[in-house]
Order: sequence, then C-alpha cells, then structure tokens
Amino acid sequence: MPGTLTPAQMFDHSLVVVKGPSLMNRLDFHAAPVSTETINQGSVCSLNSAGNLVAGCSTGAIMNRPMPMFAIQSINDFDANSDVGNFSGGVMSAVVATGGFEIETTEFVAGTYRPNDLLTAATGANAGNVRRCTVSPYGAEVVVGCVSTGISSNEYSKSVLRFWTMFLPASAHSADSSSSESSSSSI
Amino acid sequence: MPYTKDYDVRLVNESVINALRSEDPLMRKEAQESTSDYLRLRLREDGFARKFFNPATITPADLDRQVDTQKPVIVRDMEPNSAGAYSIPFGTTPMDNYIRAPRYRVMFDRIESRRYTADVNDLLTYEMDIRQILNDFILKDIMAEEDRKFMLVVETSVGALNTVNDALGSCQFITVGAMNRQSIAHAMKGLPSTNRHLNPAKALVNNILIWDAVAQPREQIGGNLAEELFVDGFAERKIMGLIWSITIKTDLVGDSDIYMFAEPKFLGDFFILDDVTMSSKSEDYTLSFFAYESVGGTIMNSAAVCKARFSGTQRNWRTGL
Repeated sequence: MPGTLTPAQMFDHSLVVVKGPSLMNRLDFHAAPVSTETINQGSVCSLNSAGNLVAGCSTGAIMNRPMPMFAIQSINDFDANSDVGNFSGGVMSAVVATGGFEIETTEFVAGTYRPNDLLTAATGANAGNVRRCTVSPYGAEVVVGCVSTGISSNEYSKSVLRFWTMFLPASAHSADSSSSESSSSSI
Repeated sequence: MPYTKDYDVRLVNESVINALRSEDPLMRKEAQESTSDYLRLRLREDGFARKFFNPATITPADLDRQVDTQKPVIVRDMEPNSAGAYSIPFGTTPMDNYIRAPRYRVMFDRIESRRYTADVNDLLTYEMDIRQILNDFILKDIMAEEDRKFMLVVETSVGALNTVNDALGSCQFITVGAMNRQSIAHAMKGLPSTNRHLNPAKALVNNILIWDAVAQPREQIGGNLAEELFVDGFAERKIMGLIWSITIKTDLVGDSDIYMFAEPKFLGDFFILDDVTMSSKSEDYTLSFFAYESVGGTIMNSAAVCKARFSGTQRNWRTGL
C-alpha cells in the first residue's frame, strides 16, 4: 500500500501582500498572542483588552473598536513560538488593515466572493477567517476588507482570496456618536 | 563655568554623518563597520546572557531543514541515558534494550532596535559625541532584550519557590536565609543536589545584593577578601570556586536572588546567526539606522540552573522543607 501521510507544508496557510508599502516601510504591528488561540498566517486577528493578539476581530464596545490585522506568521511558527527551553518566540506580527494593502490569504470561509464584496471577520469555529458581510457597514459587523479579484488558486493549488484591507468599525454608529457628543457636552 | 563648544566632537559627528551618507560604498562601509565593531565590543562587556554559554557563530550550512517550515532551525542530539546494570546468576542471557537518544531543536528569531531617523542638519547641532549616544542606546536595548529572554527561560527552568522538581529529585529555587558564609555555602548545594549531580560554575547577582557580600565581616568571608572588598568594592570575582557576575538589570535579577549555572556544555546552546549589525540608510537630507541580531539559545538541561534567595528560613534543596 502506498504512503498515506500528508505532511504539513509551509504554504498551507499563507499571507501575501501583493500591493502596498514596501516591506521595510509597511504598517505592521507586533504583540504577544494569547497562547490558546489558533492564528494562522493570513488570519484576521486583533488585540484584546490586554493588548494580546487573538483570532478574529470582535465588534468591540462603544468607543472601543478592535482594529483588524492580518497575521504575518502562524502562532506556532518557530520565530513566533518555540520549543520549551528555547529563548526565541513569544511575539507575532501582523499587517494593519488600514495600512493600504491588497493581500491574498488562504484564511477565508469558502463561498462566493465578487469584486467589491465587503468582508468581515468570522467567529466561532471560523475565527481567524474572513467572510462576506451580511449587513451594511457600521452595522452589526466590522468590515475588514473589500474584495478585489476574489478567489483564485495560487502556485501551490491553494485557494486564496484577494482583497483590499480596510476598517469600518462595527455597530452602533449612532451610539458611538451620541457617546462622543455626550462626552463633549459634559466638558 | 564659561560656555564652550566642543568643535572636535562636532567635526567627528560631521565626518561620521558624511561617511554614512556618502555615495562612495567604501566610505559607507567604513562608517558602518566602525559602529559594528564598537557594538560587538560592548556586547561582550555588557550583556550577561552570553557569559553563561560558549556562543558560537553559525553559517547557513549549519542550519537544518524541515518539511513544514522554512524557518531556520538547528537539530541537536542530547546525551542518551542507559538503562542501568543488574545482577544475575550464571547461565542467564541479557535483556535487550534498543538504542535511541533524544533530540531537540534550537530556534531563532530576531532582536532589533527601533529605526532611528533624523534630518542630518539636526544631528550636526549636538555638542556631544553622537556616535557614543546612538551606539549606547541601541546596544543597550538589544542587550536588555537578549537578557530578558534568557531570564524568562531561566525562571521557567527553576520553577516555583521551595517546590521539588520530581524529574530532578530536588528543588531548583529555595530560600537560604540571610547572607552569610553558611547560607552562601548552602546555596552552592543546589545543582549537586539534583539527580544529575552537576556543579555550579558561574553565578549571577545584581548590583544591590552584592553589597551584602561586601558587608560580610572578616570572620564570615576571610580577612583578605573582607579587606579587599571594603577598600575596592566588588568586581567580578571567584567566591567558593564560583565566578560571580554582577548585573545592573535589577528588573531581571531580584535584590535577594542568586542564580547558579553549570558549565556551558551542560547548560544549553547560544548560536549567533546574525551578530549585531548596524544598518544605515541615507536619502537626501535624512539619515536612518537601526541595529539587529538573530540568535537562538536554549537551556535544555533544567538541572544546570538553580536559584537561591537570601531571605526567609533556610530550606532543604531535596525536600523544600
């Protein structure tokens, strides 16, 4: 019987910045991840209230809206985590959604994506993936991207979704505004 | 005191900046190499993590490849353990044991400074040696991060206070009481008390605790040493056969704590993939530069490090009681 094992490959999860600022000048961010999170290269992620990276991007709270980012490494890549006894790791990095990027990621929920579809961060078992928005911007979903060319197959026959990164905070636009106005008027 | 300008220093600053900005690759190389040389010298003097290893510079040929990642890694063999011998009567054949030995991976990441940038004309206005300032703060940042990561692994290895590590049959972190000749000697028993019986070779304390050693009277540490310490203060020296290193990083090494390390060959690895390198760039009237290094280190033998705290009641290394 021939072999049946398929070892993991370095291109199983990928993020490719196809357009945007050059590597040495792009807007990226580094922080320690929450160790129990599953964050793959290309996953949408954000900071929790403690300043640690978590998979996905929650809608947040009034006047506190997590900024979407896209992971440059997987959480267990050797330069982001390491075997017990090693000094290295502990921090991972991500490009920030407002940095002016067009990216390709393997981390998306399978489906139909047309140019100009708005994207949000999936939740639950799909946390870390992006998916199509189902409501209008500034509604119940945070917008993390806008589809450019959509799904294609990369050089390793992996499905990737190409889109422009962006950030339109979720929900309660009016609540945020009223909070701001209330705050201003109280000064 | 009259106000004076140090024109010599300003001339040096100007020449360095001109060299860094030069289109002539030889001049730029010279400027970058001079700062790189300086960085390496101070690193050996100031960083304490490397003192406990035999740092080795590696080349890409030393790296091992993995199927699932392109990240650099080195796979190292670990000493095998034998199953022990036993007594038998005549006419009995030996039991078989398959030969195997553990391995471990050394992984790498990068430590880098911020990228400092300025208008070159602003730099020309300084009255101090700008090379000294820039190298000092960049290097200190990198060294502090290297030491911080080293101490994180050390703290993980020594575990909780007064708690027995079952794998080693002893504690690796206990209180030994106030500092005196007897408590220092008791602290020295930490590594030999494990089931791997290593001896300490080097120790690490901070520049606060060391004054407790200086304060030890003649009857505690001996006449010559007491007098020398009283007159000259403390420099790195051997006490009870152990080289005590002193750090000013009190955020990493507590005021009552002493860490002891076995010889480097028992402790782990320190591989330098990219030694501290200064990268500089000049564009029109702006200058930017940053420093970086890529190292991989391990403490793979938890029995090669222990910690004693000069406070509380003296505990037994084997029981924690």
